[in-house]
Amino acid sequence: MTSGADANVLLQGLAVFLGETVRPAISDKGLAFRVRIAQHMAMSLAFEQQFAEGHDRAALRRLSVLLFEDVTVSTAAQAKVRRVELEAQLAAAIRDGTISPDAARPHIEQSLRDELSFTNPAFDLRKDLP
Amino acid sequence: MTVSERLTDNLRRQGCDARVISTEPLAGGACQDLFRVVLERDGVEQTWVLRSDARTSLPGSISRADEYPVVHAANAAGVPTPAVRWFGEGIVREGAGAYMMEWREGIALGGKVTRHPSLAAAREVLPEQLAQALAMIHSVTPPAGLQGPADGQGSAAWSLSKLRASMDRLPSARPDLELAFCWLSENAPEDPVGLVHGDFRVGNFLVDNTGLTAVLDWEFAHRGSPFEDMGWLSVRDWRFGVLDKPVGGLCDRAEFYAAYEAAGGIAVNPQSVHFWEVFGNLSWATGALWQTQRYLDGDYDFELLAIGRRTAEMTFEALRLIERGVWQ
Repeated sequence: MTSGADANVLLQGLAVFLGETVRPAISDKGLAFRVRIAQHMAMSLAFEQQFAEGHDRAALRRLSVLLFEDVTVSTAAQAKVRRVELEAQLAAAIRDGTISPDAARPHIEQSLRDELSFTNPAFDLRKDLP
Repeated sequence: MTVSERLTDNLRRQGCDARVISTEPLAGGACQDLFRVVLERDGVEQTWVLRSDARTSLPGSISRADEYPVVHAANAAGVPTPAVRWFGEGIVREGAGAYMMEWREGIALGGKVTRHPSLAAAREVLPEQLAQALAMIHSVTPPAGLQGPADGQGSAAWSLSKLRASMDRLPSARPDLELAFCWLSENAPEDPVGLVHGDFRVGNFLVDNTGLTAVLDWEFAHRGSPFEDMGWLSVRDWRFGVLDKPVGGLCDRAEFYAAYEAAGGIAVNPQSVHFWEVFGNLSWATGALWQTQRYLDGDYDFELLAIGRRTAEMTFEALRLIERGVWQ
């Protein structure tokens, strides 16, 4: 059953409410700033809710190549749990030198780009900044 | 007893006959409790800041008991930082150290300092003023017992060991942090050791339309490499959106290095500064994760959660800097 509004729609609605209704009505600058943070967080969660499963599954495919691990999962929740396990495994492999930085870097950079796409979509990804 | 009553007691015990008129909590201290204090002393109304240990703190953050002699020494040496007085314990809460700090006017908000039109004139002089302040800080003899490398241990090795310990105490490992740490371990410079402010960045400077009025927030002071402060000042997050001006969103690197050297600072080693800028980004990434941990440990400040969500910004930048290499 569905109400017609999934989590993504609800979170976006919450973000718009916080930004357009609540914030302008607050005179306390400190509180208004925190409401702005809440607004950004709600929008970030909306993006994450929408794209996280795709990012997790793509990351698992890259991790399976790096770590020679089985990454078969059924649900989005399983994909997230498995990814956390394998990211920790990759971290340990970089630390003990089993996997070289050059081999790990493309996966890590793509993972960061994915994460930034919902935590801070305006983040400047140019490499030639001073 | 109220904070005002305990503060009055502490002042009297130290020979300061003052009447506390008001104590008002101040926003802005993530790791300390700050109060604006108005008191009457010798018939004159004065404004001070009461700076106390908070309930929780970040790894590497020193106590007010250790911070007090650092700020006192810096102020005595002429560093533009508020005078401090009357250290005591149990003023804000049981066991918490606290001291009074002279009130200074100015704006600290990073976005305003780097972008607000009313501070345009200040931005013209800030790079030189900051370079002079930093050179002065680095000339101060660190108080005995201040945290830092052991005899024979390099500043980078000490800082890396602290960062390693901080990363290892987080609940789960991240490969982006490990990748940056791996590079740092292989590229550690041999730098001189002296007093390091430890959080010398836009956001911790008070500024008015004439420029710098005070350097604040000494909670990460330690003995270490002077280039650590310089790298930290250039960390992307502290440019507050003015990314094309790598030194605090205020100027380019060559201008700042020249002003620092002209003010009596040691010759700048760009390779070391590059190392410390990468280090700063990784350190801030780890710090951001620790802010989330503070929330999970019971410090229910909503802002802490939001900071933790920003970790990828700092690790992306650390890896970008590594890929780009030393600025020339």
